[in-house]
Amino acid sequence: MEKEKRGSILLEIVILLLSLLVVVPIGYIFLSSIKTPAQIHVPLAMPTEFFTGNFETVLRRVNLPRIYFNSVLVAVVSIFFLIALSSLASYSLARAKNKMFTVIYIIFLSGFMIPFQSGMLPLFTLIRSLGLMNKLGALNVVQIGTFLSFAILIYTGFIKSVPRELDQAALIDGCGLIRTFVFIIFPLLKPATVSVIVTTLVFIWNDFMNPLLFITTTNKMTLTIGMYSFMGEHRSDYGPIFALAIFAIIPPVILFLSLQRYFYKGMVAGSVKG
Amino acid sequence: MKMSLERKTMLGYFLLTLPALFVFLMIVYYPFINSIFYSFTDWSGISLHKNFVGLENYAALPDDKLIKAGIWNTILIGLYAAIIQNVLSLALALALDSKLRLQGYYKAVFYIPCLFSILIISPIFGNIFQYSGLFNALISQIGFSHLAEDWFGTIRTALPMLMLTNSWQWVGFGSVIYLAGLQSIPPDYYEAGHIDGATKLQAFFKITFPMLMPSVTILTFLNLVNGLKTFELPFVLTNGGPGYATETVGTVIYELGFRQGKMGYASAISVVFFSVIAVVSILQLKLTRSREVEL
Repeated sequence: MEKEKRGSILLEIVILLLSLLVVVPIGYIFLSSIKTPAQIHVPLAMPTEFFTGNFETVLRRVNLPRIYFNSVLVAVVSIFFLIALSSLASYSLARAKNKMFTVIYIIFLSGFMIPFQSGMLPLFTLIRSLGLMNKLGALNVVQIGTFLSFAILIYTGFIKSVPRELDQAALIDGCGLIRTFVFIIFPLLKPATVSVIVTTLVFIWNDFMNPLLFITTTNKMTLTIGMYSFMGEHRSDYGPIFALAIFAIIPPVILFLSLQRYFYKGMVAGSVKG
Repeated sequence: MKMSLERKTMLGYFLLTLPALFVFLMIVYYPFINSIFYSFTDWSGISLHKNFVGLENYAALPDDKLIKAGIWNTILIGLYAAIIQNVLSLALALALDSKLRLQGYYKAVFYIPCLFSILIISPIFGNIFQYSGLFNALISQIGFSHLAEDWFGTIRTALPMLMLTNSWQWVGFGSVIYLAGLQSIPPDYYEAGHIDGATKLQAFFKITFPMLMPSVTILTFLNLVNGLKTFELPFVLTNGGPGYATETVGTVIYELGFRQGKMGYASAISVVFFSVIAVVSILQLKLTRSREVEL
């Protein structure tokens, strides 16, 4: 018993030390962001004062409120439409007993096998020919398309577990398909909806490739592109990058800390079906 | 009368899938099918002319040093993620599954890196592991200054460093999935094993591991495919260098397609890449699924 207790304390210490591997680099961002350019080159030096120059450089070189707004807008609009389109489609895929719907379901799921890079070049020409270059709408439509497979997988699985009698009764009473879905089924899908939101939100917020491909003007930049603009081929401007990184980290981390349970559950839900 | 109502409902169901289907086909399938088409042409991406060149692009792939390096690195990253990173996640999950005082804290801390953008991770790691960076300063403090290296700028270390950076971001995510799997195993199973005199090691291989197989399937699959798709990290952090040390299939497609104006040629790689991902996904799922415990 005594030996077991000592073992568990040892394990606790080992894991606590391991967690430093995560905590130290994150702390390093915060410390570096308030270091002067001279101090940044001495990695072990602690900041001697709260140096605000890096934040001032960020505000001077990029329009921070604007790019923040762009990032939020892309995330919110994309997720709204993603949920609307995927939950409606999933309702049909879960309910309709017909070969055709099985085929449509498989088409959606096959999206998991198509890597982004395989369609990257023609997607670029498609967006260009649609006149969507430098429009946030381009990012929205691409994000929706990219995450439909995932969202439909989650929703279809979930709707199958909702008793059929609920909507059949409404349909027989003459309630339309869309009304039945919106008023009876959709409110029951909250856990699935939260899963879809927390999982895709982080990816959309952090997305770098799509804005890199489709956005070139500064007033349509998102946060990731803003950070990229401080990185050079040979020398990066680390102070401002770290200052800007703090702004990019805060929203997903706060969301995660307040909705932890849903993050973990969402992952498990997503991993059950595969 | 009943027939027509059913048919009407079917039509209704079909109409509900249309908006999603339209966006999906436009954003995922249309570009992908176009890739196949471009791969048989010499299109530059900008010019109005495309000439049909048959299999010429495909025939040129095996002799291209850049492509060979990209494919080889991509395979290494994929295998590393599917095997080593996966084992690390499992080990961490097993450690977290015991009675720890700060379990909630550990779970959150190890999960947090996967919330970060590559644009945050790249400067952190690029800065810490540069020649004058934190890591070298730390090892010099404890007397290993002769090991100091420009970790991402040296051909020998750049790719392993890239894999480790990836692991820093994703090991915790994997361990949370494993942890959920571990905690769903009924304790009676262990009790029964204990009564029958099973050792801890036996209990792991006869109870834990088989019961965990669904999580193993999904994580092996996720790690392998995400490893093969590695793109943003080398693109931002090392730009494929030094030399071709961190080129992946993704960075090669971008380099050839967008920077060198060889859309047709780059599309040929995309198509090969897709085929590999598709075959790997199907194979992998079949292999691990067959070993799952049916409950």
